[in-house]
Parts: sequence; structure tokens; C-alpha cells
Amino acid sequence: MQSDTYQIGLKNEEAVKKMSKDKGEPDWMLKKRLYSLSVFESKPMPTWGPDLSGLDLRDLAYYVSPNVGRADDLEDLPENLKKTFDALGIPEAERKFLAGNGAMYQSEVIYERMKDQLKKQGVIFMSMDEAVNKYPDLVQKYFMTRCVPPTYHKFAALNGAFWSGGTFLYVPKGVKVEMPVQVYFLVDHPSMGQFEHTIIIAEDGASVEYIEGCSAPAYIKGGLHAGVMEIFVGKGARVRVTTIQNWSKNVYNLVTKRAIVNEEGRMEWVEASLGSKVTMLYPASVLSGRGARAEHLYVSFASDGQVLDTGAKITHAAPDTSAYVISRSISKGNGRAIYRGQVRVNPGAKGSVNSVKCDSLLLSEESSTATFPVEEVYEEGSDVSHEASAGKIAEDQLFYLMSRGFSEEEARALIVRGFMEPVTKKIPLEYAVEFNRLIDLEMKGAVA
Amino acid sequence: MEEFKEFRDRAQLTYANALPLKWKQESGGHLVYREELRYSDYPMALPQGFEEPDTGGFHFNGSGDYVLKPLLECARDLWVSQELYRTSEDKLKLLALAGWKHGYYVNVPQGSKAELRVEADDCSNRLIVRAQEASELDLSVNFSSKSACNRFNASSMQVYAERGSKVTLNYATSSSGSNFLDFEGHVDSGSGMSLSALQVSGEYSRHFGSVDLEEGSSVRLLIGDFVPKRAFGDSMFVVKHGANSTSDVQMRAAVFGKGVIRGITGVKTGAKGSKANLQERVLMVGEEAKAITSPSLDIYEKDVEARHGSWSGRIGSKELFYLQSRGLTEEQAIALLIRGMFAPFFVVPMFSDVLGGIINA
Amino acid sequence: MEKGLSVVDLRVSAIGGKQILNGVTFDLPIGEIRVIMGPNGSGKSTLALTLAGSPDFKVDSGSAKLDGEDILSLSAEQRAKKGLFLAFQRQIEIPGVILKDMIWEAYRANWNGQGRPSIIDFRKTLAATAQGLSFSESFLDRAVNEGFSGGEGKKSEVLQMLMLKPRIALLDEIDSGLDVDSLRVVASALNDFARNGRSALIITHHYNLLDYISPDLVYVMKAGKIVDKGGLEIAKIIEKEGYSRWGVD
Repeated sequence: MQSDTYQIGLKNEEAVKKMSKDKGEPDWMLKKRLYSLSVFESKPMPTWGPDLSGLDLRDLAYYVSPNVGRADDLEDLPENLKKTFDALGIPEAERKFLAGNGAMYQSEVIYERMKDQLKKQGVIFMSMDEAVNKYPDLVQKYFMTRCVPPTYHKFAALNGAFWSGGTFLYVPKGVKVEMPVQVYFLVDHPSMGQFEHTIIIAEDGASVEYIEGCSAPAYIKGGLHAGVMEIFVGKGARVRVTTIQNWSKNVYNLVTKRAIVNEEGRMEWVEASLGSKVTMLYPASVLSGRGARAEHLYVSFASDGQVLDTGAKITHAAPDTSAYVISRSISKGNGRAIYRGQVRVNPGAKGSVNSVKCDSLLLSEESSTATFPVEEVYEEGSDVSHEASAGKIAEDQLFYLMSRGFSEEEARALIVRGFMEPVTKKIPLEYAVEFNRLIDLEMKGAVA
Repeated sequence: MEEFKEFRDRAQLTYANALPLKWKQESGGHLVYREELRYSDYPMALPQGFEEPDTGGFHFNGSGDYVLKPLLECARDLWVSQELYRTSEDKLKLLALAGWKHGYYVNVPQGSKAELRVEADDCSNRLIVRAQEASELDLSVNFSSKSACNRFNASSMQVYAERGSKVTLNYATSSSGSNFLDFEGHVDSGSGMSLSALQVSGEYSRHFGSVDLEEGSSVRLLIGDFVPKRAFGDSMFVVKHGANSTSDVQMRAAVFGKGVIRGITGVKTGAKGSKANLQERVLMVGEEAKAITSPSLDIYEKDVEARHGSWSGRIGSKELFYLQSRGLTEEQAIALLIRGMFAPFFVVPMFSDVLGGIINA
Repeated sequence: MEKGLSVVDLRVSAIGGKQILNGVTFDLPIGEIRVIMGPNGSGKSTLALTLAGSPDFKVDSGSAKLDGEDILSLSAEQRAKKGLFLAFQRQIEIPGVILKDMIWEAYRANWNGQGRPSIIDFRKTLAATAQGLSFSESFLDRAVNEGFSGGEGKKSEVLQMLMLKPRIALLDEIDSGLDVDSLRVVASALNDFARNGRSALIITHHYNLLDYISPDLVYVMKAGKIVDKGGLEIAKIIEKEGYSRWGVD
């Protein structure tokens, strides 16, 4: 276990200053970065959750300029990744790209052609770096202020100091964005931490869907992904965020996501976690206005060597708010899937309703799972319930499918797919198809 | 006796340095920290001496075949001594294990049947119970029949149900001050344990229990907590499973003050065929009611069937309307509901005495 | 009309929803059995639930009086104490609350007689009444409505009515789910119950029960209003032709 505080030293302060200068950021952003850095250095490592002792925070190049420290030979790619690319039919050139050789993708964001359409509606959709310069006042109002301040926890502070890339998505009053806004992010340098920072603002009555992630594994050698996502849902607005995470199995994925939901607003989180060595992911919804609602749908697949620790943090801070959580996790090999949730109903939040349902499926002898929910109910006029189950694939289901001609392997894959269906059905089709294929590959053991 | 005095002297040092167990339920970066009893409320030290042999503290009546002796009289017994000289790092548990005032050992010989009713006359009691192979024991203990316990009471009970035995337990604890009760159940192969435990909370009440299930054993737990206004009640039970073991745990609470209800199910690797069910139900009454529930599952074996559920809230508006349409006031409706919630307890006379008065209040 | 239930131009909406009752007017004098018939969706249950004080509905305007006194400003339990009883159409399960315990508590709460009620007498009466309804005693030991079939749920309501002896009984679809024998038993209980200073308002959309009961008046309800009234012949017309005579829905 790492020591409590880190003495990283002046080197980081210089790196932050250089980064800010190179990006041409306004002074307030530099100040914010420096403040975040000091918070990061003063906060201890978390004493709970998965083992983070393999994470060495001293050895990361936080900012890499485009031509320094490029990724190595394709031959250095781990065997399992090569197999995955084969199985997914990814051509040679793209493999180089996914292995981190693509120069254009240096901590940056790839846009879809929809950018023009969005512009017409008055929607602002650009990389966070660009937004800081183009809309400084707007960004300053929202960037690490009320939603995820640098003091939220150590890795939020780390992000605040070294963030680069991420999306700024602003939807004006009443605007409904029809097509989901999609973003890919990739990481280049093997020893680089990915600290993207995304802010989504939906003004009153607006509606938008945002998808991030990629089913093909994204590789970082000894990496850390400490991303932050801050979401503001206006009155009667609706935001859905879908994330498909498949970091290569050496990455520590410590993400912070939080949404503040106003009166009659609605927040939907859809999280599919497949990769990383360790994931700590607890999307939070703060229901701060009357009638606000949140929906958290999670599916995670923990294979050998993985610990996926996810959960929902929901705060009912106003009357008549409601939220529900569905979490489906699968553990294979010695993978461990954990649900760690927190529901809090503040005094005065009368008529709040909350329900959490988490189910775990264990596939192998060494698989394990755990659920650690906490419900703090400080308002008698509320209804809070939680249900969980854990077990293996039912023999009678297997038998039934096999009697219809499926091999045992196929039957298991089918059952696993069905188990995840309540969540995967909310993922847009092209992503879902890719995701399911990947699960099939995992089930077959083709990717060890 | 001498040995025990030495043991207690050594324990004094541990006690002085021990910290109260702080519950840190860690989730999503938010430390939920609960420590309601101030350090200064704990007794300064473990009690100093006692009469030899200690024969006060309880009164009993029983039937069947059993042996009942003060703990110190059996301190030479190998089995008893192993249990007697245990310590803990948790300040409260240590207080209960090493700082008891009256201690008794109950032994039901192999193949025998026994029935025993115990009433505590004083505070800080320890009961070590051994139901030997193929025996049957029906034991009921009232830890709080005397109101002398209202300052500080730390009692404990360790029950061993050995191979093929059947143990039925009922116990009640209540206090208006600080009250701590620690229960340990060890259920050996092929044995069954059924426990109904009721806590009526006072200023600070902590009821902790753990049950270890060996292969092929089963346990049924019914844990009730009644938390009046301005009271604090903390109930936590941990069940650890062995292969082919079964547990059914019902935790119920009527909370007018502040209640914490935690049920934990653990299944270790190799505990194949385990079946576990944990249900927590908390009825909150009144503006000041606060409840924290945390049902947890920690599973390392795929060949299991484990589930749990919890619910907290107030009486539903439809149910309330139905009862009101029969002429009942809201208070009467809630009292009915609470009576229904604790209904399984009323079967045992000891509980209905304790509960009956409270509910009507 | 001094004694009895009197409802004038009652308009009611569902909380956060649309208006369901559009001006209902009817009377239920003491000693009479009256019937309200109407198709599904006409608002019959809403009428019954609103009169009993359900929290799910809001009175927009109109009045409801029991013996000349307004009841709309009273809580559900106050109305019950004034002698109003509703036999629910939809069974509400209350896990953990044993039926016989609930009836005893209600019996005590509504006790108008000398001194305190005797639990021994209560138990005897309860057993006899249950038997009279062919309602198995084992159900008395179960939680309210938990696992009861439709017919058992209805009998449980009638049992409660007979034990609590309200002055005005509103029976919402008491006949649905009952077989012929049960129907006869319930009808006979109702006939005995009513008259002698009590009244019953039977809300239904079938004719079944009316084979065994002679109502004093039949009201027809449609789209949230009372649209007609008459004798038993109206019920017979409904049985043959449905409700088309009073307009298409």
C-alpha cells in the first residue's frame, strides 16, 4: 500500500505551468490547476476499495508533447490484445493506431461530422481545450465549481491539475438533440495517464444523449485513467450518458462522474465496464430539485486479474424525487465484481423513492463478487429498497438450451447475454453489437 | 482464579489502548463514519475483582439434562479455558469478553435434551454455552430484567452447537443507557441453530452478532430492534458460510429515533452449495426517525444461491387509508403494523412482556 | 333529508390527473338499500373511495353530508367513526397485520356500547360471523388480504362490515369473484344488515347480486355522473341491453 501523502515536488508544478502556457489558457484555469495540484498532493490514497498498490503515481509523464516518447513497436503489444484484434478483424494499420502510434490522437477528441448540425441548433460541442479558449466565461462558471470540485477526492484533484482533452457539450434551453453525440477517446503514450475532463450542460427543457467509449481495447502501458465528467441537468431537461469502457488490462481506471439534476430533470447513466485492471466507478446523481429523477444502469464483466468496483451514489435532496439502479455483473476466472452503492435521503426530501437491484453471476471456481450498499434515510416520508442476488448459471437453463441444440459454450454465452440484456438494450445498436461480440470472445477465452 | 486475575490484569492494558470500533462503511469515496458513543463514556477500566466463586448475577430454572456452573469454577476445563481467555481488539467486545461481572457455563451432554430459562439480575454478564454432539437445547435469556443496567452494560454470549445438535435460542436486551450485547454462534456440521433476539434500544445500544456455519449446518436468525425516540440502536449480524450450509436472516426494526441495521453474508471459497437469504425491514415512524441500512454480500464461491433485500420507509399511504377507513387513527395503524412486524417474537412470553409495554407507549 | 348520506354535485379529480366525477348527485336514506350501476370507467370506484376519504383523489367542488353534517372535511378515520364503511373493490395487502387483530382493534376503536368490549365475546362473535359467511377461520390468522382469492377478499370485507356494524356501508363490486353460493350468503347477510337504522349502497356493474336483494332504488352512472334512476326494472334493462340507452361512451 502506498504511503499516505505524496511528495511529488516542484517538477509537477512546472509541468502544470508549462502545459497551461502551451495550451494558451486563461489565468483562472492555471490557478485552478495549481490549486488542484495542491489538493492532490495533500490528500491521502483511499483506504477502502480495491488494491491500488500497483499504481505508481511518481512515474507518469503527465503531459507529453506530440513528438516526445512515442509508443513502441507493435511487437510490444501484449499477446491477448493481438488476439483480440485478430478476432475482431481489425486491420494492421488500425492496430498501430489502437496501440498508440497514431499521431493525431494525442489526448485529443475525435469528432463526428454531426458537428455542423449541432452548430445550427446553437449547441456547443468541442474539445474541452478549445472550449476554454473560445467560451472562457461559460466554462469558468461550470468547470470544477459546484459539481466536482477539486476537493471531491484525490483523483478528481489529479484530473483538475493535469486534465487534457475531454468534451464540452452545451445544449441551450429547449433544444432537443435528436442523434446521440458520440466521442471516441484514445490514449497514445504508454506511460501516460489519461485525464480527460468532460462537461455536459443541458439548459431547461433541453435533451441530449452522449456516448463515449470504444469496444476495441485501448492500450496504455502501466497506465492510469482518471477522467472526470460533470453534468448539469436543467429544469425539465434530460441527459443520458452511455459509456463503454474497455481499457487494456493493465490500466487503473479511477473515474469521477457526477450529475446535478434540477426540478423535473432526468439523468440516465448507462455504464458498460469490460476492461482495465482495476476500475473504481461511482456515477453520482444529486437530485436537487423537486421531481428530479435518475436512472443508473450498469453492466460489468470482470475477467482474470480484474477488479471492477462500481456503484451508484444517489442523493435525494428535494421532495418527490425518484431513482432506480440496475446493476448486472459477471465474474469469470478470478475476476471480482463489486457493487458499492450509497443512497442518501436528506431530511425534508419527502416522497422520495429509491430502488436498487443488483445481481451477480459467477462463472468460474475462482470468481468472486460482493455488494456493499448503504442506505441512509433521514426522512421518514420516503421509500427506499434494495435487492441483490449472487449465484451461478442455473443448470436447468443450460440444459434447456442444450436440448435445443446449443453447445454448452454457446448456451453459457446466450445466458450471459440474456443476463445483461436489461442494461445492454439501452446501448445504441452499433455499440451493443460490438459489445456483445466482445463478451462472446471473453466467454470463449480467446482473450485470456 | 489466580490465572484469571492475571488474564484480566493483562487485558487492562489492552483495554486502555484499544480504540472503539468505528464503523467505516466506505462507498464511492464517501466515508460513512458512525461512532455514536463518546470515548469518555466507556468505563475507565475493566472491573477489578469479584467474589469467588461468583454465584450471583443470574437466576435460572430449567429442566432436562445439563450442567450449569460459574465460569471461574470451570476455568481448568480445557474447552472452557480456550473460550474464557479470549480477547479482542475492539474495545467494547474486549470489555464484554474480559470485563464481565458474572459468568456462567452451560453444558448439555451428548445426546441430552435441556431447557433453560435465564434471567439476569445484574449487568455485564457472560454466558458460554456448549451443546454437545446430538443434543438439543432450548435456551432463553433475558439480559436486562433489572433496570440496574441502565448505566453501562456489556454482556456477551458464545454458543457452540456441536455436531448434529439442535439449539433454539431466544434472548432480549434492553436499556435506557449504554448497552452492548455481543453474540457468537458456532454451528458445527449437521447442526441447526435458531435464534430470535430482540433489542430495545436506549441512549446507545449496540447488538452485534456473528454466526459461523460449518458444513451442512443451518441457521435461522430473527433480529429485532425497537428504537424509541431519542434512542440509538445499532444491530449488526455477520453470517459466514461453510459448504452446503443454509442461512435465513430476518432483521426487523421499528425506528422512532436513529437505527442502524447491517446484515452481512459471507461465503468463502469452497463453501459450495450454500444458500443464503437476508431480509432487512425498517419501519420509520415520526419526523425524527433516521435509518441506515446496509445489507452486504461477500461471495468467493460460484456454487451458491445468495440473495438479500432491504426496505426502509414509513407506512404506505394505501395501507394507512385502509386501516383508517376502519376507524383506526394513524398511531393505532402504526402500532398494528409494528405488532405485525414483531409478531414472531410474541410467541415467546419473555418478548411479549418486553415489547407489549413499549408498543403501547 | 336529515338522516342518511346525501351527495350533491360532487366533482372529483385524481391527484395530478384529470377529472373523473363530473357532478354526482344522489341520496341514501337510512334503512334503505340502493344500487349504483355503471360501465367500467364511469367513476364508481372513485366515488366510493372519495366518500371514504382516499388520499388519491381531490374534491374539486360539491358536497357530501352524513346526517346533515359535512364529511368531506373529515379524515378517513373520522368518517369511519361517524359510521361510514367502505368494502374495497381492490384488495390491499398488509403483510404482517393479522386480519383478526385488525378487526379487533377496529372493533375496539369503534365501540359505542357500555364500558369496554370483551375480547372473549368478540372472538365468539367473530367465529360465528365467519362461519355464517362460510369464511374459513384459517384466513382470520393470515395477514390482511395476503394470498386471498377474489372471493375470500370480498368475504373478508363483508365480515368486517358485519363486525363493525357501520351505519352506512358502501360496497364496491362486492359481487365480483363470488360463486353462486357465496353470492347468496353475502346477499342474505346484507339483507339482514340493512334496515334497522343502517343503509347499504351497492356499487356494481353486474346484475348477479340483485337476484337476491330488492333494492329500494337503482341509479345509473355514466362518465362521472348519475344519469338516471328507477326501480329494479332498470337493472333488468342493463342486463339485457347494456348501457347504450344512456348514450355511447
